[in-house]
Amino acid sequence: MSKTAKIQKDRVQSVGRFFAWFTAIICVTPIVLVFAVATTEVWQAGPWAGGFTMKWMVRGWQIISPYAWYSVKLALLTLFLNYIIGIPTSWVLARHRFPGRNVLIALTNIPIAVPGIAMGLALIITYPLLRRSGFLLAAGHLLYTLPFFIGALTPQLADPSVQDVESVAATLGANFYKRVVHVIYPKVKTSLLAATILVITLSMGEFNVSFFLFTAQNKTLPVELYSAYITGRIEVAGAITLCFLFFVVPAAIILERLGGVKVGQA
Amino acid sequence: MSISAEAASLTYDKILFTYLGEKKPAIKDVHIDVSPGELVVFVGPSGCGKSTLLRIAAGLLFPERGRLLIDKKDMLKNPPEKRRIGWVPQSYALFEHLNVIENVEFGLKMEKAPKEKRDIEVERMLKLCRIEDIKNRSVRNLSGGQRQRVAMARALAISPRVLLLDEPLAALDPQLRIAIREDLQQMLTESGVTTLFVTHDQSEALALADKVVVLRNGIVEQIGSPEYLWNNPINDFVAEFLTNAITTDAKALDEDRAEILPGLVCSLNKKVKPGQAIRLALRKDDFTLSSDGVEAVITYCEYNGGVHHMKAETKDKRIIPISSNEDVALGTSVRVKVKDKVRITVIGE
Repeated sequence: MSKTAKIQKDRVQSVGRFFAWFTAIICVTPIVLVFAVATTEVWQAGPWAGGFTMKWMVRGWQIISPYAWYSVKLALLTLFLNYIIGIPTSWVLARHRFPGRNVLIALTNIPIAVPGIAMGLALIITYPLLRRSGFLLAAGHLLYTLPFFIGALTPQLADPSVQDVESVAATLGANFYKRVVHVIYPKVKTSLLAATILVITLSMGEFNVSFFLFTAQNKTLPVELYSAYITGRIEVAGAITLCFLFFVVPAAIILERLGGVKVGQA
Repeated sequence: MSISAEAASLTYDKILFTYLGEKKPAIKDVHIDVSPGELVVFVGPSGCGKSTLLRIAAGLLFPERGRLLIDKKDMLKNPPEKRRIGWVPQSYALFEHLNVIENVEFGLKMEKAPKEKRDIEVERMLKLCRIEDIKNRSVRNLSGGQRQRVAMARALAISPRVLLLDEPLAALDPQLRIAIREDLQQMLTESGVTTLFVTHDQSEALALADKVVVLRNGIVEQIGSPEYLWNNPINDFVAEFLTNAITTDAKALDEDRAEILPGLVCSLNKKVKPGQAIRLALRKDDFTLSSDGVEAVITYCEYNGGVHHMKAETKDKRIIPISSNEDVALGTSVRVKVKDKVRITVIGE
């Protein structure tokens, strides 16, 4: 490599490193700030003016804990529905070629393109009676998360190496159930886990659809977070945000470690 | 040691198969008979349908028409798990979450064989495929040759009636391929199992097969023993693909001799009608450089371990393959003749 080319490469790398750090700082700064707000006695007086306190965290948790558990339950229900609908759909899309397959793929991706507000409104207009039961909220979360679930699982199920091991297992006498348990599941479990965490993370953090579909009995964590910002003290809102991050960030980290790249590619 | 007491006969009877979305069939009315214990090699260029035929036998693809007879019983309605056919795909498709022993005993576990029987069979397979020393290793850390042996042992462990090998040597480097090929032949002979072997490498086909099936565009071009096909290619494609020959026109001078071009006369490997226009398969080992040959110019030359393989173009634009100990530069004018005692192969019935 010539000296000029090396200098140019070093320069490009330096600029790249600068932007990477810059982006990281932009992402981390709000979290640090929220921590400061949530642990300061009186934020208007400045960071930790009046000392460090955990009282806003306790207060925040008291406010949101019912909604947090509701969000967890809703996320688990959404996950269950994704398993019931998403796994067979992914299987069909991955393993079968049939007329209309591309149309079906496009249809499963529509919820990604449609704004959550529009989806929420459409659901209310179409199924107004279901709103109170909470099923509509679950349906909204399912619609929002299903494309991601299918997108994470389908490429893995379609992978020729997975199809080959399944075919070999069949020739070795394994019926469909045994193939799924002994061969397919071990091959796709990382993608399945990634899809699972993705659904839980997305459902826990979903706001747009939930904002239109929630009721007093069915309020999710992000909706309550919004209410806290509108109506409450900034310190409490900060504490609630921090609680919210405690739920979502670990899941996101696990997701990134286990299969984030694959999900991204899907 | 014959482990496959139940080696079966197999017949593809007028099989027609088209892939979904394709207009042209991948397999067109193919009829192939395989005797019990026979090693049949399917050879042909990419897309000729050889792997498709294996998948049909394994039950992984379903033809629109025809029958697949195993021991004279139609098996097309049986799913793969009910056929007892061992399949080794090109990728080997080892179960990466299991170790070598667990891979080999997988089929026996599926058929719920008792532990004692499983242990005995697995030991036999490990010995047959010479992988006893790696039996407790994870398959993730094995070399290409070891993976191939594990896949073979796994397929043979169920005592298959037919064994299907889809380019099992393709993933190996050339040096290892020849060594493994010898071992593979020994393993298959010892096992006694009826085997269908797919390859696009003609030297592999000729080296391994009891019977070779030459395929092109989903059609069987010719079936026969390697020697038979070598000496009696039915058409230019078989001569060129299977024997690396250059095909050319010639005129029969009498029953046993033909003139390839003025001054280049050869003996023939079968009787023809005098005066008849015939096609010949010219192979590099049939011709050599000689001062009393016909004039030609060297257009291609490669060194191949002690021998130079060349192509020379004559004045009337015919290409003659040559092997010689001499190293001749491209563009050199030479004289070419048929080697003594060589009989040139006549193409066709």
